[in-house]
Amino acid sequence: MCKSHQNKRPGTNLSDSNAHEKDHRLWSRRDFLSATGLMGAGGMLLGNLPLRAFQPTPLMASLTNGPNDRILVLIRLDGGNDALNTVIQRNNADYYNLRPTIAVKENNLWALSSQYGMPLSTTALQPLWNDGMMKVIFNVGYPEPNYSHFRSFDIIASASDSDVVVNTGWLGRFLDTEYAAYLDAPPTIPPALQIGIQTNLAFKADQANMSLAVSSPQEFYQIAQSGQLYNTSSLGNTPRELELAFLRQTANAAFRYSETIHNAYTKGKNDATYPADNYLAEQLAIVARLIKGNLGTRVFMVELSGFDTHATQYSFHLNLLEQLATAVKSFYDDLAFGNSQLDKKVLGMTFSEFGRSIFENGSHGTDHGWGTHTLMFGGGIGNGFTGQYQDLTNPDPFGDPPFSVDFRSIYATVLQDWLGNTPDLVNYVMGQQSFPVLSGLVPPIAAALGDNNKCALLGHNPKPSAPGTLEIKYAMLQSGPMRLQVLDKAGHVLRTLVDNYMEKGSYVFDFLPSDWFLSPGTYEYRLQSGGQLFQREIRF
Amino acid sequence: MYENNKINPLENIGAITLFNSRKNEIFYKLANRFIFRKNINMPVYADHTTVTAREKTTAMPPVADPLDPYVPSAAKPWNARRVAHLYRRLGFGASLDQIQQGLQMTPSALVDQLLNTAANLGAPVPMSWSNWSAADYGGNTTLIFAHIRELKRRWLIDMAGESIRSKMAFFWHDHFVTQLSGYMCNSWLWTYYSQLHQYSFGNFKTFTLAVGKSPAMLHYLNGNLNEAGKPNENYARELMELFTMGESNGYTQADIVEMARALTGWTSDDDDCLPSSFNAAKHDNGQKTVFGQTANHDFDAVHNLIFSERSAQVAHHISQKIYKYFVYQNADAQIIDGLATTFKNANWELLPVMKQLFKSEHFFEDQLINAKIKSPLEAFLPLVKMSGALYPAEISDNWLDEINFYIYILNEELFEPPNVSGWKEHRAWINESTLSLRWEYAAKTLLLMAQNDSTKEKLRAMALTLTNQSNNPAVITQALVEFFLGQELEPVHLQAAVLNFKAGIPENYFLDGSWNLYWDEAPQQIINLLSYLIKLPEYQLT
Repeated sequence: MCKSHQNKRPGTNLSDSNAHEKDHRLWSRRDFLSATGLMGAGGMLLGNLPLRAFQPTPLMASLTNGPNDRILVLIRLDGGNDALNTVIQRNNADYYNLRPTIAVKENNLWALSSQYGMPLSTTALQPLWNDGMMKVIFNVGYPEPNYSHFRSFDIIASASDSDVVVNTGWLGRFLDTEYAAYLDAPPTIPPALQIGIQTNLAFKADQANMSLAVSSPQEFYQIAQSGQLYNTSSLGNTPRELELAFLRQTANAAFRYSETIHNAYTKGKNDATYPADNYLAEQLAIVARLIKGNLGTRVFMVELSGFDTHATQYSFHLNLLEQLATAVKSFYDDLAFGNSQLDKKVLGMTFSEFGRSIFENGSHGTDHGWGTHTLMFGGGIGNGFTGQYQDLTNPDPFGDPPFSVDFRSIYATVLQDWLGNTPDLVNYVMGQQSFPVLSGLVPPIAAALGDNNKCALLGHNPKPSAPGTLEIKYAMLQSGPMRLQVLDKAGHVLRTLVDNYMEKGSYVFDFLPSDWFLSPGTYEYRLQSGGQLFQREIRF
Repeated sequence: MYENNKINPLENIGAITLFNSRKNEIFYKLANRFIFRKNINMPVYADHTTVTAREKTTAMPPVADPLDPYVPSAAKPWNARRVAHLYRRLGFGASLDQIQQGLQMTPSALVDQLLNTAANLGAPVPMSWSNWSAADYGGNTTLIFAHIRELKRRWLIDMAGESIRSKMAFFWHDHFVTQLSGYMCNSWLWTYYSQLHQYSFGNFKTFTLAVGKSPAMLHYLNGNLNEAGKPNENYARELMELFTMGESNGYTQADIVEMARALTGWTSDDDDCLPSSFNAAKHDNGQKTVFGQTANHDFDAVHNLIFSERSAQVAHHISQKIYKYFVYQNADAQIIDGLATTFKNANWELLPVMKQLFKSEHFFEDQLINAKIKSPLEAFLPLVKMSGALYPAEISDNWLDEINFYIYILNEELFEPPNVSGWKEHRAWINESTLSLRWEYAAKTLLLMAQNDSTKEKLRAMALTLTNQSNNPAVITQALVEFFLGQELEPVHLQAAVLNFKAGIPENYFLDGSWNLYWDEAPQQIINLLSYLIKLPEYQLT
């Protein structure tokens, strides 16, 4: 069946292996750069301009500047998740006609509503849906078919894919002097943690821009449990082992965040049972533990792969969905344990590079398609649907129904409503494009005060050459008056460190608390300019 | 002002050769950039004391001479790992073809072939500007720097190509140190460069005499200021302390003073950049007493005294230096003793010493394979060398400039050793910031490789040969790890290596067997794997 479809896209079947490889290249190539340590390992030269992938981006700046403690956990479904078999349009004859052998039948569904259902393998999610902790966004996609969710996420969240950086003009913005100070002010916690081979952790976000690939939960466990990525205890006394021990110790020391991660991991604990033999569950258990140990990182990314289901997909795909469902359920049980309310602070969200063909191919699988569904999880987000389900009767000339929701709208919504950034900053992060915020998708939080983007607070770190002194770094995006103040936890202004007219540029303020007669403790510091306000915690 | 600190090391790529002031500025900035948070606890470690004659007597009586020629056995087989070890230490690694050819020969025959070839390369072909004086350049500094860059590229091309003589020449650069920034005469640089290559496997005594009279050395250690009545001791001291006998090893301050008088008369002038010359009027013709021998010694005569009256010290010092550079940082007394005897008996010919060392049972011991910390050059060049990349097809001038920049940032800039005693080598190369820069630059080296289709096809062909066309990612990863690292990885890291190799290809294509090394993506997958391997501590060992 669907011969015409197969003709217009030769090679999307595995049986047509040569052509398939070519077809495959189109979408798998994009993963390579980001998958490699190349990007994570640091800079590269493009047109003689130094470009450093995985450097902190304005997005990361906005995340670490936000006054709230909400967390985002991105769950990447690697390979292109089949939308139609994830959330099923009940009693849709077209669906069953297009997929004679792989459709999920009515008696294999649990009901999201009278119109939609999910496979019984995902029953673990039913309590989340019923308790108002889950939403479905239908048919999420992107106007340019050769673009993927993953690459797009890289553009927005990490700027890790250099080609895209250049194409979208990130390079110019990235090198903009306004953000230079941030590059020199690595935060003391990793702004984002990503487990899995698709991207690397930005572990050393300074100019050396070293980032270690934490490729697997096993490597991550080693760090979390021992505080070291490389084992130094098992080596003997031969010349080779002595030198290797020296190198491992140096490498471990260079791995800047290991201690922070180790401390959070030790402090936190898992209070739910996670399913065994579930790769996603392994990752989410780590994330839960780090969140509960107050790591402070606000964006996590985990992944589950295998969604490129070209052949005999039925049980295989249902099994993947079961892994997703049971892992997510355990994760939220863990977060909610002991009435902690943590589940309300953590938004989980699936994404995938694209959906799959609406029709079944000749190998009882599905080929690359367009829109896919995004599932959102979180205490207090409610339940319901956003966007329009694929119209199976109205495919485009390539056989794919047009997408309904631009994924960048979801990101804009998350940035603005969930993480509390100003619309200006959101637009800036999104490449000066304005994507409509999906009102009501997540409970909004008030943005930081201010109405334009005139300054940025970039962080603080101990000054290496002067013990006790903290370097507070900030950037003025436009010249103007600015004020830097220290507050107590109740919000009272205690000291004004700077109150002056400042030229556009990057600055560092050497802050020695004893000079200001402040005793050791936990405080906030705040940058104000042009009606904008950034506030962060500081301890000394 | 904070803004002034915004220096990106990469922005200097356009100007690879920089004066020291610029260099200091950059290093100052680099140093500021890294925060050293932890003191690294070094493992307990034998110290590096110079082996003395007294210590020799306390060495354990050997069962067999470790310098005996290596005879392959079941316990110590002649395998790819050992062939690669030989190539890595003598040069900058081997391509798969070279390893396979090496396995077809006996260890002794291979060492003979490699060293004879390197020793017989002849004097290097001069550059077009090899004899240009200052007047010929007419103050054109752009051209001066362009020619220096040209020579730096040439050296790297040779290192990535024939490898073995160019590495030995680098060893001598590290030994007979001069700093280009101190004289800035390209013709002098050429003379020096040429001597480093020409004598690399030749006669050490002849070499010492020649380099001592070279204009670069005369200028660098003030021989050109050393005149009758106005002696300058600098060269006399370093000649004995660093270049021949070793520190405090058989000479007195009086010997230095007297030797300096004997060395007078040789001059060079960096205003004209002309060759060095002997000015008899400036030579001290009085009687000098060196090592108790009194006569009207001249330049050659005091060299004869060093090599006759202090032959044991010279033989020992140079043998030890060779051993530490090519084998391991701690030298075994018995082995140094053996090499020194060979050196002396060969009347200061270097080739027999090198052959004895590289053919020995000791050199091929398991515990010494991958026991040396890579220099910056060794951290980058082998990646392309092992892929079989060739200049200019896969190694561009731009790429060479990049490597020269990396080693400059990592303090191994060609023609600019840090001081007269050369690079400190070994663990001195590694700290948190240099290690993370090595990761970054090795990744960039891979990126350059990934941009060359021919290199990528070589990687694919290599993987196909290594694995007999396997389509099992675990098998392929294991084979590539063995080829590129020659070491076992801990399971957690080997597992991660496999994941990196598989990255970007959905798992189902491995499960159903449809993926194989002929896929378009395969070369990039190998690069992806390498980009993981270069960050492992094991990668820094050679």
